[in-house]
Amino acid sequence: MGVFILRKSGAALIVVFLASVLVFVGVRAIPGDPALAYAAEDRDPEVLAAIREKYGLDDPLPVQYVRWVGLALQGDLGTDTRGLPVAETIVTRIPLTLELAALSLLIGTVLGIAAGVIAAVRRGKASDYAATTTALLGLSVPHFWLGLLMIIVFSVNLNWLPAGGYVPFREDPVDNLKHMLMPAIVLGTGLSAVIMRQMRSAMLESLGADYVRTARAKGLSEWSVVGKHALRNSLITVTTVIGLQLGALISGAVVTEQIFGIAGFGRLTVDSIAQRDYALLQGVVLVVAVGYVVVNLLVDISYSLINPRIRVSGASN
Amino acid sequence: MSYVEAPTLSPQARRRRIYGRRFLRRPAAVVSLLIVVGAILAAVFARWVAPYSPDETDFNAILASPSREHLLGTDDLGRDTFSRIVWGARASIQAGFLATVLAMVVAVPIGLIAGYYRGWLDTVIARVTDVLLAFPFLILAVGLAAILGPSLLNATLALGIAAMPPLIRIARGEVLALREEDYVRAAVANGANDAVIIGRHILPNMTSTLLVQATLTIPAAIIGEAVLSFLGLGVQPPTPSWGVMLNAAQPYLNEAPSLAVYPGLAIVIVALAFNLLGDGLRDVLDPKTER
Repeated sequence: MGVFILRKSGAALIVVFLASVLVFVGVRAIPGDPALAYAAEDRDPEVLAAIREKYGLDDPLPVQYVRWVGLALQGDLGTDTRGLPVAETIVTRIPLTLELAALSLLIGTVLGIAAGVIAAVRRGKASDYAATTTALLGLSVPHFWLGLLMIIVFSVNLNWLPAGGYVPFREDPVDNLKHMLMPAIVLGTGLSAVIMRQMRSAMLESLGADYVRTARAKGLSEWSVVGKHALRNSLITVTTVIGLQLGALISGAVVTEQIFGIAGFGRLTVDSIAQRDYALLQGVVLVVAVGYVVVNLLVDISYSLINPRIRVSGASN
Repeated sequence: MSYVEAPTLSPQARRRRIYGRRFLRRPAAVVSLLIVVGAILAAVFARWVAPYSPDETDFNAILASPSREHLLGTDDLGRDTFSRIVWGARASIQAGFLATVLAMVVAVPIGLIAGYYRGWLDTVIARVTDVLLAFPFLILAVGLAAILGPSLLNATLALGIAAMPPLIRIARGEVLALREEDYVRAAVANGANDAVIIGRHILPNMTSTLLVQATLTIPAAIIGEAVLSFLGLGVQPPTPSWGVMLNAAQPYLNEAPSLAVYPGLAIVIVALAFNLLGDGLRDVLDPKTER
């Protein structure tokens, strides 16, 4: 087990290193002079030269890369064009997105697993068709459109929920949830559609397996056959799917935060692109990549804990 | 003695006929195909399908509700919403198809080479794919679109590149499995060269998987184009695109909510049709996966 975790972590480290190179080179490939972004309106060559000197923009790229990574490892991602430390900005924005992601994950998982189980148990019946069709629809509806529709219905017409903005949980928990409800539903529905489809097919497979027939033959109640035997085994598949969906969750957060005016991490990404804020952008994208790799690593490890067969086949490769 | 001559069909023709019959038995897939064909025709012949030019302004009908003159109403500049949706189909269809073709043309050969030759090249390709997969699809597309600059062509390029990593993985996995098939081993034993084995034995057996992947990549790219345009990184106004229209609708959610409804509906209908078509094709081409 230890070897497995070490090997996986080593591979993840390599991916993080290459991703950081990619981010660094990618950001420098964006057209436009970074010094101009720092100088705002000031186009005086002397000012620009001073800025280049200050931020080391004239140094060769490898030198700049090593300096950036060295500082990043110490938690310093440089300063953005407004002179604010990038790491600090990211740290203040992340909790909003984490809250959004956690709520969406909760909504998506609960809805998806429940609908998937019901559809599988009642296969071929009306409830199965309803759940399957809704899931398919959920997969084809873009987040941002669903968000706009919800604003029209629940904010403009019914006036039940605020159309946007954010209130910290510590200030007013109820108001905080009111603001987060619509974005979380928007982000959670796509997720629930994917989980539902996986859950349904995993459950159908489990329900047809020998151990379920044995459980039925033993005279166990249908409730315990479905809940204890079939469901538990299906959850293994779904764990991986949830892990794989985290990327979609991050992508979705970018758009969702844009629509609901939540100043989270996703909004920061779009703003940093719009403002050509290089230091900010490369910090943001680096954090996304590292976070994504770490989460995938955790999913891999937890998966091997749940299902020992993976570990064995992984080791033999 | 008279006898009826049995119709002779080549094996390929017979298989095609079986596929055709299986496809026709799936109403959802047939309807989806009709919608997809309809959307493509509307995009190609927008000039004749749309009652107005997409830029034609009617200052007597600003934010008008649906009427006989304006089927789906008008926007804040009095432009006909229906016409703009028809013209906007061009951007969506173009991005959807071109991005998918680009992704396929690059990703499939890379996956083929990695899976067929294995060795260090495979390791390098697998690692690079891992790195690209460390960026979620839309984040990668948004980043690339930012690097390339905002335009429909660049958005299409960005979406195509962003769609490559998973396709490389799928192609590689498929080759790894096909390589072990008996008929491939037989071909190797017969002394066939790599080009023949890949071109005649491996690639044809991958087509159904690739076709299904393509029909699933297209809707992802269509939604991706809408998102990029919505964020201002794709099609630039006043050129119509469904994402641009949704972005422009945002300030008018109070007065004219329908402006935000119809373009989104267009995205959902076309994306759903492609997804259903993909599902249908998978069932037709590979009966094992039939649910």
